[in-house]
Amino acid sequence: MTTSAGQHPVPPQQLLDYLSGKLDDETCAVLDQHVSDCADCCQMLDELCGDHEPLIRRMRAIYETNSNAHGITSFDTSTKHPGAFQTPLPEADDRPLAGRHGHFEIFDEVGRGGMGVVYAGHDTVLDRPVVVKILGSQASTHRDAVERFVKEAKIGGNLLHPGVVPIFELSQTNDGRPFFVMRRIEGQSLDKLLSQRTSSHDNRTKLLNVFLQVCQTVAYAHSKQIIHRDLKPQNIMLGHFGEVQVLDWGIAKQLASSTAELSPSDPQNDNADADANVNGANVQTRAGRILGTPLYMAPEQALGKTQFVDKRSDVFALGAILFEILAGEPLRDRSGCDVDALRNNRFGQFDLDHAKERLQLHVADEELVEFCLQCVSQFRDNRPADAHCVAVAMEDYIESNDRRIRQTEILAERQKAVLQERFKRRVVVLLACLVSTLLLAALAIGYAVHQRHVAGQQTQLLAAAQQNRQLTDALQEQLDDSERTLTLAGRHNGPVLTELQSLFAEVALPTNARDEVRRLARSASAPLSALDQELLRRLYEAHLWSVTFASDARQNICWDEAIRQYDATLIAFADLPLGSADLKQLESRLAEQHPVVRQAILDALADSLLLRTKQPDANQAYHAEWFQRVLSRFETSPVRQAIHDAQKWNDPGRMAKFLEPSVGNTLSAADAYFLVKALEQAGQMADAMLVLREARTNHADSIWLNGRILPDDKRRLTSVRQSAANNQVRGESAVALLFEARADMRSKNYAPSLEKFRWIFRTNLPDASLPDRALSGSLVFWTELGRVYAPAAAEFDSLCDSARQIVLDSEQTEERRRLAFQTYVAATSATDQFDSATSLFSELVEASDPLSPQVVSLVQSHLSPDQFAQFEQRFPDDRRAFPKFTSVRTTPAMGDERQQFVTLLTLIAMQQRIGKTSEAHAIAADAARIWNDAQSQIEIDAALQGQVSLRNQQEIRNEE
Amino acid sequence: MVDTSQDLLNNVQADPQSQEWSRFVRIYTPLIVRWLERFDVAIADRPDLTQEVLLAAASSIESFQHSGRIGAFRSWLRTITLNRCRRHWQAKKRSLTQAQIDSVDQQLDEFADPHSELTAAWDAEHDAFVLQGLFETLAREFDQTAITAFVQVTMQQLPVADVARQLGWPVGRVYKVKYRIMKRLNECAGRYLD
Repeated sequence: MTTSAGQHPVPPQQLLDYLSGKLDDETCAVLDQHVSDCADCCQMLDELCGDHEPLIRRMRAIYETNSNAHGITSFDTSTKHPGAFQTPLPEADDRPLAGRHGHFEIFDEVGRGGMGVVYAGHDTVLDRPVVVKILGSQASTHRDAVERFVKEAKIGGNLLHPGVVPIFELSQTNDGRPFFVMRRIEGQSLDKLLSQRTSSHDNRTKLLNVFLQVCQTVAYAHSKQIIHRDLKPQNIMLGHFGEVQVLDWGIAKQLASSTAELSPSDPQNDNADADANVNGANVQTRAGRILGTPLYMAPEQALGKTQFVDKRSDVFALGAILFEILAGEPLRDRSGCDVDALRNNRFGQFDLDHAKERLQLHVADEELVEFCLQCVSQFRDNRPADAHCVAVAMEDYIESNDRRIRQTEILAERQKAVLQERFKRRVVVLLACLVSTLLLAALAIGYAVHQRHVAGQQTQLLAAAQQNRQLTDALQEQLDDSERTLTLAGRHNGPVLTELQSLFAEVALPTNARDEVRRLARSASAPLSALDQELLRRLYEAHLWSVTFASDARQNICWDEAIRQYDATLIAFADLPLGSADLKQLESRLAEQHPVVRQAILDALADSLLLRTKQPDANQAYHAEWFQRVLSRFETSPVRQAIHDAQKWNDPGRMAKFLEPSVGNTLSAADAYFLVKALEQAGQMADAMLVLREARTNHADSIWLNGRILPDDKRRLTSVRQSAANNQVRGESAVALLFEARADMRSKNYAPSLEKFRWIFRTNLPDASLPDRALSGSLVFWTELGRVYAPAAAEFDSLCDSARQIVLDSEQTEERRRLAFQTYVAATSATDQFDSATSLFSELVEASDPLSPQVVSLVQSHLSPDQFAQFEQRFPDDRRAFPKFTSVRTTPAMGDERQQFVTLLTLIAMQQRIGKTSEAHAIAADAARIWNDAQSQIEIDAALQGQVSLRNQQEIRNEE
Repeated sequence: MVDTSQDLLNNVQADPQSQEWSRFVRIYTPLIVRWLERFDVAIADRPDLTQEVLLAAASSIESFQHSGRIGAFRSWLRTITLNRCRRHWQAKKRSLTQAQIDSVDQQLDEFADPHSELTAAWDAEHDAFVLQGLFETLAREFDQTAITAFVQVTMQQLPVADVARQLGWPVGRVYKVKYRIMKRLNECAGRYLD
C-alpha cells in the first residue's frame, strides 16, 4: 500500500519521530492519515511504543490480577473500570465553606495545618470573632480521620490553661464535616518577634518571661500526660496584652499512663494522635515536615524513633527555643538535616561544643548556658525530665537574676559600711597613738625619777596596742569571710557546700586538707591520680569537721557533718559498699586502691567509727558495729589493733607499750591521733598530752595533729546546711543527692530520701553524674531505706525489674544494656540475691548475646564452673584473665564428678591457651590427685598440651 | 530495565524534598498502613509506625543490595515492615494477653516466611499499590482522557482503532499518547516494579 505523502513502508525512524512529535505538521498530518489504515505501520508503532517490554507485561499482569480477583487489593471496587486510577483530589480542593453553619459564620481561609483547614469566623450568638478548623473534605469521609479530628478537639478542649487556646465548640458543617471553634487570638508569633531583633540582647528579659510562660503551659500539658511534639516559635503566639499561647496541638499525643496501659485491640484506648494518614498526602506533609525543618525537634523524633518520643522530646524543643532566644540564632542550621545526615543516622543532630561556643558569645551566665545545653542534650536521659523542671529552673533563674541585681546593691552598701568602719578604726588607732605619745611625753618628765617603772609600763602599753590591732584584724578577716560566704550561698545552691568547706579549710586552718594532700602526693612512691587526690582531700575535710568545736556545745552538729562527709566520700569516691554484709567486695575495693589512699580510707573508717561511738543515736550504734567488724578485719597497724583490744577488754594497759618514746616516735600521725583519742577516752589525759606533744614534733604539718577549724559563728554553719538542703532535686550532682538522701534517711525523713533515690535512678538507670563507683553504695543505701520504709522497697524491686528488662531488650543501646546489667548486679548484691544476677547472665549466654563477654567480669566470681564453661563455649575467642579458675580447685563444683572433671580439663586447656602455664599445671596436679586412674591422666596430659578442644569436650559430654 | 528501585531510593536519598520522595511516600504509605491495620496496630500508632518504616527504608538503603530477582525490593520492604511491627509488639507485650501475643506472633511468623500466603498477599498488594501509585503519578502529568486511552490499549488490550473511534481521535494520536506515557513509565515505573 502506498500513500500520497510517502513511501511504504514508512521508515521506523520516521515513525519514531512521528511518535515523539518531531515531525513538521504537514508530514504529521500525512502520517496520521496513513497509520489509520496501515496494519503494518500499526504493528511497528506498537513495537516502538514498547508493547512487549517486560514492564508493560508486568503491569498488565498486575492489572489483570486486580481487575479479576476481588479482595486483597485496595482498588476501589466501585470504580473498577479503566478510569479506576483516578487522580486523587488535590488538597486545595477543599471547597470554601463561606456561609453560615449552625450559629457560626464562616469567612475566608486563614491557613492549613495538621489535617484541617482554618477559617476566620464569627460566633453570631455571642457576637465574638472566632477561628474555625474544619476537617478536609476528603478526610471527612474517612472514619479514622474523623475520630482523630474529634480527638484533637478533645485534647485541646481538655487542656484548660491560659496558655492553651480554648476550644468553644465541636460541631458539623451543613454538609456533615466536623469542625471545631476556637478563640481568635490577635497578636504576633514568637517567630516574628525573634526575627525582628537586631541583637540577641534585645528584649531578652521579656522573651525569657514569654519562654517561662510557654514552659508552664507545656508543663501543664505534661502533667496531663500530653506531649505537644511540635513546639517551635511559629507555634507560640503573643497576644497584644501579654498573653502567651501555645498553638497547634494537632500532633499532640496522649501518653499512656501507667495505670491505663494501652491495649491495641481496644479502640477506646487509642492514643489521641491527631496526625492523620488517611491518604498519602497527609503523611507526606508530615514526612516532609520531619525531613524538612527539624530545627526544634529532638534527635529521636527527627530520626523517627517514635517509640522514644516522650516529655523529654518537648524539653528538647523548649531548649532549642531558649537557645534561639539567648543566642539570637537557631540552634541548628539546615546542614544537620540533609541526606548525608539521614544516611549517617545523625539526622537532626548538631555540634554541641559549637553550640556552646555560640551561646557563650551571647550569655555570660555559665549556669544558664549549661542549663540550656542540658535541655538540648542529644541523650534524653541528660535532659530535665519534663517541662515542669524547665519551668522551675527558669523561674529560679529569673528570680535569682533579680535577686542578684538587688544583692549587688546590698553588697555595695555593705562595702561602703566596711570602709567607713575601717576609717573609724584608723581614727581610733591614731587617737590611741596620740594618747600614748602624750602619755610618753608626760612620762618623760618623770623619766629621771621613775625610769624603770615607766619603761615597764610603756612595754605593757605597747603590747596592749599590739594585741588590740591583732584582734581588729582577726575581726576584719572574719567579717570579710562571712561576706564571701553569704555571696556564695546566694549565688549557687549546688556545689556551694564543697566550695564553702574548702574555703573554710583554706582560710582558717593551720594545716588544711589541701596541704595534707600535697604533702602526701609528694611523698607517695607511685603518683596519685587527680581522683585519688580529690578523695583524700574530702576525707581530710571530713576529719576537720570532726575536730571542730572540740570543746563546744555544738560539737554534735559538726560530728554529724563529719560522718555525713565520710560516708558520702567513701561511697562516691571509693565505691565502698558501706553497710554491706559482703566484705569480700569491700576487700576487693580496698585492694584496688593506691596504698596511700587505702591507708587514708582505713583512717577514715576508724575516725568515722570513733565519731559514731560518740553519737547516742541507735542507728549510729548499729553502723558502728559494722565499722568495727570491717576494721578488725582489715586493720593492719599494730597500734590500732592494740587500741581495739584495749577497748574490747577494757584494759588500757594494752596501749602502754606505745607510750614509750622509742616506740611512739615511729607512730604515724593518724595512729598517734587515734592513740591520743583512745587515751583520752580511757581517762589517761596526761599520757594523751604526752603522746600528742611527741607526735606533734614528729609530724609538725600533719592534719591529724594540727588541723582545726577555727570557731565560727552559728550563722555560717546554718548557711552551709541550708544550702545543702536547698540542693533539692535539681540534678546538679547525683553524689550530692545521695549525700542528702542518706542524711534524710538518718533523720527519718523517708519520703524525701526516697524521692532522691528515685531521681538518681529516674531512667531506671543511674544518673549520668553518679560515678560508676558509687553505684553499689547507693543501692545498698536504698535497700537500707527499704528496710524501714516499705514504698522504698517496692520501688527498689521495680528498679530491678526495669534494669532486667533493659538488659534483655536487644533494641536498647549496648551502653544502656551494660549499665542496666551493672545496676542489676549491684542491686541483687545489695539484697543478697546474687543468684538472680548470675541467672540473668546465663540467660544472656544462652542467647549468645554479645553483651555477655562485656559484663562477664561483673558476675565471674559468682558463676558456677558449669555456667562459666558454658560461657567459654559460646565465646571461646574471648581472652581474659580467669580468676575463678584457681578457686575451682578448692570449691566443690556443681554437677557430677565426671562433669567436674570435664570442666577442669577445659579450664586447664584454656589456661594453657592464654599462656597461664603455671595455673594450668596447678589445676592439672589437683585434678590428677582426685582422678588418679590412667585414662584420666591421659586426658589431663592432653589438656595440658591444650588439646582438649571445645569440640572434644562437647563429644565427651555427648558420650555421657 | 535500566531503572531499579535502587535508583529510586537513591534519588530519595539524594533529595528528600524531591518529587521522588513524595512519590515514594505517596505510593507506599497506603500499603504500609493497610498492613499495619491487618496486624491490629492501633489507629493512633499507625502514622508513627508508618513513618518509621518509611524512614527506615530511606535511611537503610545502603544495606539494600538488589539481587536482580523480581520482587527483591518488595521483600526488602516487607522485612522492614515486619521488623518494625515486631519491635512495636515487643514494646506493647506487657499490656497484652498471652492469647493476643500468640496470635500476633503467629501472624508475624507467617509474614516472615517468604512462601506463606500472607507474603503472597503482600507481594500482590505491593504490586497493586505500586500500579495504582503509578497511575496517580501519571494523572498529575497527563489528562484523564489520555490515561484512559492508554489503559484501554495497553492494559485491556483493546484495539487501537476502537479506542480511537470511541474517543473520536485519529489512530495516530492514540499511539502518540501511548508512546509518551510509555516513555514516562519507563522513566519512573521500573523503579517501583523491579
